[in-house]
Order: sequence, then C-alpha cells, then structure tokens
Amino acid sequence: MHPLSSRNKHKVDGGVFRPQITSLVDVMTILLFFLIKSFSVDSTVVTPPPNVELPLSTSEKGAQSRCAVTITKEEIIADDRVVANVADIERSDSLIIEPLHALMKHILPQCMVEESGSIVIVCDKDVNFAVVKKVMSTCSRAGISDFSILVIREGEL
Amino acid sequence: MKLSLFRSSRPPSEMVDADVDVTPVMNVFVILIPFLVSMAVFTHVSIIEFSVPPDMGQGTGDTSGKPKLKLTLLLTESFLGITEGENLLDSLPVLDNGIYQFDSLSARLSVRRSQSEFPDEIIVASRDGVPFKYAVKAMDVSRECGFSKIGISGATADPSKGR
Repeated sequence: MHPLSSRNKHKVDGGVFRPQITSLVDVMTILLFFLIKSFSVDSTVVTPPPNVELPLSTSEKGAQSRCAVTITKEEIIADDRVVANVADIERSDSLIIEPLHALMKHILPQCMVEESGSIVIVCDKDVNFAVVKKVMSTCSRAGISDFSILVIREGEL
Repeated sequence: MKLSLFRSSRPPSEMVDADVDVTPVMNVFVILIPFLVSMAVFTHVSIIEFSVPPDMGQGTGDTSGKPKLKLTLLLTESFLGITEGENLLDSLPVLDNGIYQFDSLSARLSVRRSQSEFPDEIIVASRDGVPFKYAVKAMDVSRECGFSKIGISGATADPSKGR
C-alpha cells in the first residue's frame, strides 16, 4: 500500500507540501464561537484588582458601575488612591478612618446613584470583619447610604 | 429519474478534489483568537446589596419608640448564633477544624424565620476577628432561607463598651 494513499492525506503537488488543515479549522471555529460568547455575555463594569481574592457567593445580581472602595490584605484604596493601611486600621480604636472619610466626602457627588450615595466594597475574603466595619462606618458617615459587596459567583470559577 | 435538482450529473470517477485556500481564514483566526482569549471573562462577578444599621447611617430610620426586635445571625470566632434581642435562640459551635456549620444553620434559621414577627428581615452581626468570607456566607444562607432584607452590623464582644 502506498504511504500517501488513503490514511495519510497530506498531498505533495510538484514538491509543495500541503497539509490537511480541515480539523484545525474546525477546532478554531468552535474556539472562536466559545470566546465570542464568553466575551459578549458578561459586561462587568467593576474589575477587581489582581491582589484581591474575592469571596464566593451564590448571589446572581449583576455588578453595576459604582464608586468602589477596595480593601486588599494590606491597603484600603478609594478613587485609585491608597488611603490607609489595613494593619493600622485593625490596631485603631476609632470607627472612622479619617483619610477615607475626607476622600469620600470629596467624591460623594460622583457616587450619587438615583439621589443616594452608593458604593461597592471590593474586599479580600480573608480580611477581618473589623476593617470592613470601619470602612462601612466611615463611608456611611460621609453620606453613603447604599452598600454592596463584590463577590465571585459560586460555581463559575 | 433524478431525485434531486442539486445532484451532480457527473459519475463519481470524474469528480475532482476542490482545493479551497483557507490561508486567509487561518490568518484571521490566528489574530482573532489571541485577542478574544485576552478579553474573555472566565469568572463572573456579582454583587450583594445590604443595609447598614440606622445609627451607622444617616439617621433616616424611625427613632420614635423602642426598636422592634429582629432576628440576628451572630458570627463569632467560636460559634454561630441566632438571637432575637438579647435572647440566644440557637447556637452552633465551630468544629475542631475551624469549619462553621452553615448547613445546620440553614435548617434552624428556616424554623426561626417562620416564628419571627419580621420573616423578611435579618441582621448579620459579626465579631471583629471573623474573616469577611464567613459574613458573606452567612448572608448567602440568610437569603437562601427567604430573608429578603439583610442588614450587616458589627457584634460587640463586650456590650458595656458600646461597640
């Protein structure tokens, strides 16, 4: 039996090697549809920073564009600025984080959604609740009334 | 007789292989797929909305008279508790390996909800040293039990200190 007869479909025309790429095109097409689907379905507007490991939740409410206060294991970040150190906040007795309070009062007009101050807290899952409590208390004192937490939808990892 | 209008009239021995040039298609794929992979979303994020206690907020709540007692889910480093006012109704200790018994909590919370004056409302109160992920899990369990209005609050270890 000739080596290039039935099983091996590679063709040699006048010395030019022509591989059979139909199966590769099939894979590429399936991959393309999958990627386009995953690209278009989720229109997340709040992007968690890479150093924050979000908690898992069964909540299915979609994320909306809001002011974000990010709590990493080391820092508290608001309006793209580091406003406090988590270790210092844990040691402090005060419920109010002064630099965050000043910043939130300043950016409150940008955080208004339907006439009420609204923020999303992007918090690392292992941060102690004491820090989250102080952030919420501070934001509340600055005029924020609607709070939400950013989480990863369970089963989607 | 012809069965189909589109059937080729040539006998199979005369059919020729048509060589389709897929190089431009492959070029498009090679550019498009890395772009889409870089933009693809593999984890889906969502939000949990909650309220803060009136004394933490703007004071918009009704301050006249005594506050009504609502169910409170208490999270401490050593146990999970269901309280109403100062009465501890149920408690579930944290297991030796540090795991909270959220599965058992769900059943007990459903029972307490059916007996509560406010079956839609619950406050999740967590002690300072509890990791944030357990507060989120407690909110999930509360929502799955049918509570639609979930508040979040700090729980004091020493009530005499006031916070």
